[in-house]
Amino acid sequence: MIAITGIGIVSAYGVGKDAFLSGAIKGTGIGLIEHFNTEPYSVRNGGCVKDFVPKLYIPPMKARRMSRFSQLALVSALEAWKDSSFKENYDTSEIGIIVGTGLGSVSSTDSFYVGLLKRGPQETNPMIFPETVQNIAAAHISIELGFGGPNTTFSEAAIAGENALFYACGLLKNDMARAVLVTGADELTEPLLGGMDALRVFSKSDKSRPFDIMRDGLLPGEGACTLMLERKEDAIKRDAHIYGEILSFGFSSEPVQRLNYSSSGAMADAIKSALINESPELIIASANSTKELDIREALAIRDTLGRNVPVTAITSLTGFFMSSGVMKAGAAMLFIEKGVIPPIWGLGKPEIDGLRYVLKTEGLKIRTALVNGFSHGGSNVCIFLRGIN
Amino acid sequence: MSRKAVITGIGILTAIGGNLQEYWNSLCRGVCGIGEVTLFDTSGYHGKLAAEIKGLDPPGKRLSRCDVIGLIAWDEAANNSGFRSINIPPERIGICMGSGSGGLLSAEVFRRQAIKTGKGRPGLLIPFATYAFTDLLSLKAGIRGPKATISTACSSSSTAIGLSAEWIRQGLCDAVITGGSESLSETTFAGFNSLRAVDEVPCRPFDRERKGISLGEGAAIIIVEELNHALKRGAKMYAEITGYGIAGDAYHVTAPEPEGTGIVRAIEMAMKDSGCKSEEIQYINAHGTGTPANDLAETNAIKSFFGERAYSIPVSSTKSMIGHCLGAAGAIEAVAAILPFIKGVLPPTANYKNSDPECDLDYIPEPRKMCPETVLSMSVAFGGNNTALILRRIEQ
Repeated sequence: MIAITGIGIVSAYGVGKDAFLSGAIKGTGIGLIEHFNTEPYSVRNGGCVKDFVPKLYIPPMKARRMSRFSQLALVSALEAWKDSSFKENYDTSEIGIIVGTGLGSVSSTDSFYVGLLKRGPQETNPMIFPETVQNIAAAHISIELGFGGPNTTFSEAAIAGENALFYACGLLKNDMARAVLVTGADELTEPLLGGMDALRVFSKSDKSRPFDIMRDGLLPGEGACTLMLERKEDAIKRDAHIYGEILSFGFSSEPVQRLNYSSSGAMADAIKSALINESPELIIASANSTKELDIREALAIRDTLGRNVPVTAITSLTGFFMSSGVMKAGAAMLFIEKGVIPPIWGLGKPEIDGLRYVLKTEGLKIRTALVNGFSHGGSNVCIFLRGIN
Repeated sequence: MSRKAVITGIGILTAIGGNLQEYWNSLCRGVCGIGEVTLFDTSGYHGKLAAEIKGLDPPGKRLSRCDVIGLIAWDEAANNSGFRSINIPPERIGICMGSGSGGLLSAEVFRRQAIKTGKGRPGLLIPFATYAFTDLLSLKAGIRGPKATISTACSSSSTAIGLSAEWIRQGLCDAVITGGSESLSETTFAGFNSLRAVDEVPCRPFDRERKGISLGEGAAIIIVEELNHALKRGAKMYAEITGYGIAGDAYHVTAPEPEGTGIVRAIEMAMKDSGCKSEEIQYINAHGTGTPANDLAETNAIKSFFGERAYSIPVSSTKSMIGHCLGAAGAIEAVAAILPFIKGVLPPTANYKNSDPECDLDYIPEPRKMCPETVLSMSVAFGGNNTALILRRIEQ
């Protein structure tokens, strides 16, 4: 079994897992987007990491050269590494770094290209170009922490984090690493918001309300979460704090157009294949306040798990970002550890009845959770986790 | 019995060939596809050349040039593998692609429209994401199993092939569509030029006078299948993927670690993964970009891992013919690496003329007759992402 022994979160609630949990149970992290001008676009609200001062965590000269994507990812990785209290002698080449991201740093690609258009081929900025590749965050993490183990980056729609976690578990099971830091990170910057707006995915009412009958599109978010993973026996041997373990994954996909979701039946297949003989006690849903996804996910949950399993949705806390799977898994561990579940903020009247939606912050003693990753493009990944409470 | 992953279909499109036979024939003759660029104006750059695919139709609605190139390769792979009549439930077929810049060329058009008129055509953004081609191909192929996209710049599709084999071996899938597609874009062209990493003449990997890369574009789509299934249906098998390894340099965002220690770790993991011994490797398809730093680091890594035997292993870089196809490079080069299994010829390092005292391995400037049993394909990327892939010949 694979144990989770460190959690680092940078979210709309600020830096740190404690800030995340204490904020999440009080209210949504979504609010006015302030780090760029949203005037030209159709939404004002999003789940931005506010008051983020990277140089508090990263040497200032290095932080200045990094994209927001790299900064968010690196700070979450530093937090998770610290949280893991990994101290004994270790070989730096035995620690892996696996990152999942939706689009990496679109702002770097955009500013490099706009610089080229404005100033011509001889005046482009060579400092920005490296930040345009998706694997740049994993590079920074490996350089800052000095870890030369297995290193790769998954760039996916909304299953980037889930795929990164699955891959990291495989590395540990095959004994290709002693420990792996798994990061899911995405930035919210103006060109990304502009692009998503052009594709008309945003809420017309500027509100995020997963599963609600009135929902009318998503609100964008950003953030990063890193989990430290080790084989359970290794974690026990070093007397690590174990949040919980990753039990199993389930996959499915369906051939659909690139912006569409799979059917609820395919989503149900992913849920069923992740759960072996056991029902979860909590579901961290994928629902993102879009018309298409939420209804299908609700039906998939109702058809597979019935009406009694509490359902909450992280997108109501942080807004939508593609690599949120790692944060969903980290959040599940924190909710189980503290015995408290934040609600689906913004949900008033559900479209699909008969699910046990968490509507206000609840104290619940639970041990297991299911993380749903249902993405546009038709791919689905579910993760079944067990916490230690 | 342990499961094995074999290649049963290949489709490929590069500047030196519109299909697999053309590609292999060009490699056997050392044809260089690097020349003038017609996609956009390169007159303002220091390095003006690239291995562009000529005569492609412009992409249709909601498609990028990357999609167009990839779909042509897919069609060939589907045909020569018999994929469309394969008897595997769609839930047991996965897709795992590598991609560097995805449909960036389309996003550039969007950006120019937006600057000019205040509004870009939204359809141009649909194929933009790095994962967009994966989703398109899974739709075309009717995939219902696991789906993933690796994006580690120049080693993306090499890792994707390794991961596909892992999915087969661990029992997650019975067949996986893998590989990668990449098109030229102004951003990457300007980017490598801004780093002063582009040669003025077609790139000269391992040559003493080498000055940098030549960019390229292309796609290789590969069908990986579980061995027993392939045997049962009598499929043509091109090679076995016995294992792969990945490792980070933890050194610098663009420069490779000079001693190649990260590359060595990737090779070590690949050896462990495939249960292969170093003396079994008889040919190395190097990353060989043609930059002074990369080729030296790679040479150092080969010497460090193989010791004295490094001098007797033929090493070549096919980038001298197809250019550097970034996210698709690993897959296109893996197909070059299995050429000797099929044709009994090692692809050469074209444009190689002057020996470098620091890079002193056997870089085979001319095609060479040889039938190796086991080969190593290496990929090295920006950000220090190294991948090693081990491929083995299959007796037909």
